[in-house]
Amino acid sequence: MLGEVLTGFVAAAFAAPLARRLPRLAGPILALVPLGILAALTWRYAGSAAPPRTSVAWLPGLGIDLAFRLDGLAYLFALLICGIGAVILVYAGAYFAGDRRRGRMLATLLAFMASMLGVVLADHLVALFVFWELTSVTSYLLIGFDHEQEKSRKAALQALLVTGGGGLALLAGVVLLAQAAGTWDISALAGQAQTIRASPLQLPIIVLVLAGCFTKSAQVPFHFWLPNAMAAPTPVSAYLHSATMVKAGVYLAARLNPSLGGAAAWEWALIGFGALTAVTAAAMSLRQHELKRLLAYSTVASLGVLIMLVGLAAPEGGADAVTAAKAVVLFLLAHALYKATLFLVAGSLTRATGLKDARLLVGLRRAMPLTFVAGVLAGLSMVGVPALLGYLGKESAIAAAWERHAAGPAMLALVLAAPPLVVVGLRVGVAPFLGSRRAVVADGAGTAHEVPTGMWVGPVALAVIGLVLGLAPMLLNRVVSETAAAVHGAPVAARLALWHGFNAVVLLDVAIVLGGVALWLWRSSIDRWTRRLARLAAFGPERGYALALEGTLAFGRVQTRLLQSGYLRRYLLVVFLFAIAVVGAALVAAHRPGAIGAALGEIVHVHAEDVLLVVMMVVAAVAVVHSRSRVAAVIALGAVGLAVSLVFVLYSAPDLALTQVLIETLTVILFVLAMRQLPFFVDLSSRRTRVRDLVVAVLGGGLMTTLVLLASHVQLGDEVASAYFAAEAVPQGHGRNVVNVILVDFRALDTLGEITVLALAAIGVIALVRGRTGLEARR
Amino acid sequence: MTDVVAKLQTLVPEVTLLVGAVLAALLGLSRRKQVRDAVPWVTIATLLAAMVAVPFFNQLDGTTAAGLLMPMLGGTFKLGILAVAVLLCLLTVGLVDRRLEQAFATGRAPFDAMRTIRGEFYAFFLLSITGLSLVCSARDLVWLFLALELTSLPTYIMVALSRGSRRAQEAAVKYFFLGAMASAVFLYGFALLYGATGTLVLTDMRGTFALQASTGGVSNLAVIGMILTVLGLCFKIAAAPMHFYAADVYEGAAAPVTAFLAFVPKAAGMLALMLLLGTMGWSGHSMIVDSIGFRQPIEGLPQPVVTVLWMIATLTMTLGNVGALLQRSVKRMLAYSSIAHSGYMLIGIIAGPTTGLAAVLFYLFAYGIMNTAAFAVLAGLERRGEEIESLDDLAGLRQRHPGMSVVMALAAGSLMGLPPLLGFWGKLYLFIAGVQAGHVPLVVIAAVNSAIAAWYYLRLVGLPILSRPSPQSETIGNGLSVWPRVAGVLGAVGVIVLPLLLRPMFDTAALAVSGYAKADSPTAPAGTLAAKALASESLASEALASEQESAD
Repeated sequence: MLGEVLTGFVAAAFAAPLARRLPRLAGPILALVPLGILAALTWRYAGSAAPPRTSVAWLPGLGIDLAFRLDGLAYLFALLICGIGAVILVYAGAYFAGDRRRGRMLATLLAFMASMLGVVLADHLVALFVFWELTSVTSYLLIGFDHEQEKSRKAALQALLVTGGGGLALLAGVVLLAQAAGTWDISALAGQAQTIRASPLQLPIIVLVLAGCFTKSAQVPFHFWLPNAMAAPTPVSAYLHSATMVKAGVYLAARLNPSLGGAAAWEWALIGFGALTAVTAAAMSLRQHELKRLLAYSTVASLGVLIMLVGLAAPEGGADAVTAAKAVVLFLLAHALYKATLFLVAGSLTRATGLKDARLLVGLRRAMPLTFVAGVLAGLSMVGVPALLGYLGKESAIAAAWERHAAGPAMLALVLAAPPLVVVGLRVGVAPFLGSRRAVVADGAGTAHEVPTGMWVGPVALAVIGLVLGLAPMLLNRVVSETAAAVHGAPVAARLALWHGFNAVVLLDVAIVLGGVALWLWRSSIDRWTRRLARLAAFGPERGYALALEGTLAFGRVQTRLLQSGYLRRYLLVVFLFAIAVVGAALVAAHRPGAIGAALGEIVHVHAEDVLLVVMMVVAAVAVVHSRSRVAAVIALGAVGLAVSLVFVLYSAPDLALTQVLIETLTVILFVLAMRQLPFFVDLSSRRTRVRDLVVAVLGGGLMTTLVLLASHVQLGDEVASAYFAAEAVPQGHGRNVVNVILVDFRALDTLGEITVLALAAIGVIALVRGRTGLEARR
Repeated sequence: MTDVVAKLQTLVPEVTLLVGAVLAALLGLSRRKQVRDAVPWVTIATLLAAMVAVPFFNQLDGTTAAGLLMPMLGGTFKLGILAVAVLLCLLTVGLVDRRLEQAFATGRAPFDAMRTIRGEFYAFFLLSITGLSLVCSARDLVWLFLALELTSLPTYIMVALSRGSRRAQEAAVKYFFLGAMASAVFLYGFALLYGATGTLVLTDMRGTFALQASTGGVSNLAVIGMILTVLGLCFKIAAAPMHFYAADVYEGAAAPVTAFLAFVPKAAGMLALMLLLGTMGWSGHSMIVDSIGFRQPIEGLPQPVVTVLWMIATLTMTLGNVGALLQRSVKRMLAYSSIAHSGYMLIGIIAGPTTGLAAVLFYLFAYGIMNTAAFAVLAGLERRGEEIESLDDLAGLRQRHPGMSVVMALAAGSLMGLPPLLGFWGKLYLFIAGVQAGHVPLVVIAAVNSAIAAWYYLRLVGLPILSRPSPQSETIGNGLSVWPRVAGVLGAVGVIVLPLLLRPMFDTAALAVSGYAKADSPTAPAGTLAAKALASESLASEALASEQESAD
């Protein structure tokens, strides 16, 4: 199945050249790609009883394979992705007629389609994530297609940050899931449901995975990116928001339902967020008038219903769960078909009239008869008129909620959310075509005429499929039972029929349609009421998103101002403070302060001469800081060094003392040489900075002192080497001066190396001095 | 004597680099332009020769390997280092000493051996790589310190030499002072570690620490020494709180040198961290491996060290990514991104062997490739002889430089961690290692950071390809030499093609750290501290096992 997925990406690479050569035919020709992929997948699916699986080992060390598996759920999604994809490619080819960006659009659509196909076919958690993020990225390119416009760029970035961020949560989630279940294979997860449930990681897994699902499927409170993404061209909206992108979250929830379902947190998160989303988005759709925004909010509401239905389809539930699993499939299929059609119809309406506002569009049935057919069929399907697939979807959803609990939250949410969706169906699919054309106020509608073939053939085809499947639902029996089985995690037998008899569900359905009509009739008073609600949006999640972005930027500014000042002295200050804090904390944690004091008291034996030397050092150090001349400071620093060498003398280390004196002398000479080049000494630091520096210096010095004192009791290993050299100097080296023997005999090679280094350094100094005099002479 | 010869043999790659460095320094002084122009190619030839030498001379025999904490590191990771170094060297072709060379060529100035710096630059380049290569095979603290300094000292000079501007001078001075202080800090840490163990040899230190751990815990002095060491090494890897220099220095230096700074010292610091922390903890051999390859750690590092590393990792990622958001200068942005990537890599360091360390090695290599590709765009294009810097320069690059715009987009996409590019696999590897070692919150923090990072990397992806050209970007032309652009294309190809070779690369990374578990295996010479420690450790683990049995 890797081949099928890759075909999409390869075709994407050829789309742009093709669109340049055959601009008019590019759309239909490229539409053959998804159809071909679909044919290949159907061949595989129909050809085997068990779901076919292919796997290519990729990283055996980490257990990562490129595994694909085609079960009912994957096939249903592949059907939608490829079928609707083909329609969209034809439509987009016509929609972008004469636009030089056509090739790029078709290529991106194909790449997106292939990524989406990868998501639903993947049978490995990492492979799924890879394709999941690819859909986020390709959808970013699609939503931001009109990148000349600020609005598009913003919407695309918002969509990517929300879904991409959720994707990263999903990554953490799937890695944890693999660890808890002991497998990366998605098909093997369901068998590990008990293990996962027993794992302490179960709750984090659920939270992280659902964060991925909810951001992708635009659930409250992450729903805001979807309506904003309507800035995309219509073919993109139709594809992303009917069958693909936003359904990926539903897909993942359904896919993982057998393995994660059964946990109360999973079930109630899905039902709760789904119900909340359905009701909120349905209510918000009442305030919209622009065609695409109406559809956007109704899409969010439908996604809420789907998520809720997945929650109802608990893997170990009874008959109600089976009904819910079937409802997921039917509602998903019906929604994809009518929503894609309605988006395309909306695009055609806008293209033909130049109008976006549903209130201005009226009486177009004569001008656009074919679009009218598609619109009415899809609109009525959305309303839920029997004989259309939408009716079956809605009916099964109501039945699932009803069977679960006639007065449960799911039922309540459906009753509240469904009527506004009826309104959307009527307003987008039906109302623009009805009424008298004389009522048209805007000029565009007056001259409207039917859109080109490429733009009506697809919507009509999708609408007719909806009608055929609505009339003969038994065609779907196999797909529905196998898909529902994948969602439910146990075999499901679906026997679909046009009419299930007269029962409470039908009554409810009728009531919902009537409710929708009532909402439509009393729209003015409802409008007033919802306007008040709309003010709440100021406190909504989109504001939260904006605040989060601003907050991150503000944090960036603050940290740059505080930390990244560009001044070396500030950097040193922060480094010192951090080191003092960390080391100090470790010290205190290891020793408790009292113990440190005790340990120090044990070590320190004070003699009079020590005190004298310390006083000398302190006075000299203070003089360094306070002197107003560089020479004086350097001399004072030299005094500190001399005092240190005296300490060495006192504690019988004359060689160290000698070295120290030599180094101190050399340092003073170097200082004096360097000072010739320096500008006059100016004291720029204020009292405050000096006090601050003093505090840091005292802290740092104190810490170092403590460390040194604590380290003073350290016993180094036996001095094997010195004993060896002392014993072997005469027999092997024939010399009585051990140091000499070591230097010229035992470690002669080292000495040679040292001499070489000194010689090289001398050459370097000569070169530098001569080079310098040479330069000065030239000047 | 044979002992010395055997030891020297393992150093053949480094000796090759050293010879190349001397050769480069001498050839750079030639009066003939052709010879001077050949210096970068001599450098690349040296790097390739060293690369050929690695498989021949770093196949360690048992006794030599027993003296190293991670014996397989040299024979494997050096190849990665040298491969990235070749790319880095391509970036510099034609850019070093450019004005002076032009002056010589046009006859505006007579040739002056005192003023030309091409030879020195490439000599320092090779010396720094020599240092990095030596870090891989360090066996004791003195070696490690010298190797680290050999890596860093040339870079201070390279920054100053990289271009004739005051900003480069300022950057070099800042870099040098902070670097000197960092060296002092980790040297102090080394002193404490020596004090706590009484040995400088890494394998012996590991033995002593194991002994201490089995008899009442690692000495506090050693823990504090380790913390100081880690803080000092933060400078090399540009991690908080030693990261400040990165933005200023990366901006001040010329693009090829910046790319060098972002990889070579970072790699040296990460390797040093692995070697030093490896003496104190992880105990990679005492891990339970479950059915799908997840390891359950029994013991990690001492808690204070883990806490400090956690803090550093979190701060580094966050400050790096948030800082990058505000930048208009591409180089500053990439500097902050370099900081953030160090934070990600610390996850692997915390997780420990084998997966964590292998992930760090793989990530270093991947980072070297993708970051060099990004800098290649900056080095390969110019406006009237000036380097391009701001984001506006990149806007709509596709119109006039389609190749470079794609290189930038791919490099940034990979840095962002976009599947299926190279960077994504590195990040995934690190994340898996982190989760396996039980550091889930750290991985979640890293994931949040990746989301923030996407925000600015997207600009680098989107601006060159999608945006309209800005007035600035209209005036951008190709650089003097084609080779930096070639390096960019090579890097971009690597970002796409290398994921197909993930399997051998991951295997190699795992192989590189695989010897670590054997560091205190029974092959250690009897009578050493390590052997004693091993005995007591196996006793301890037996006791643990019997305890578990009785609990069952």
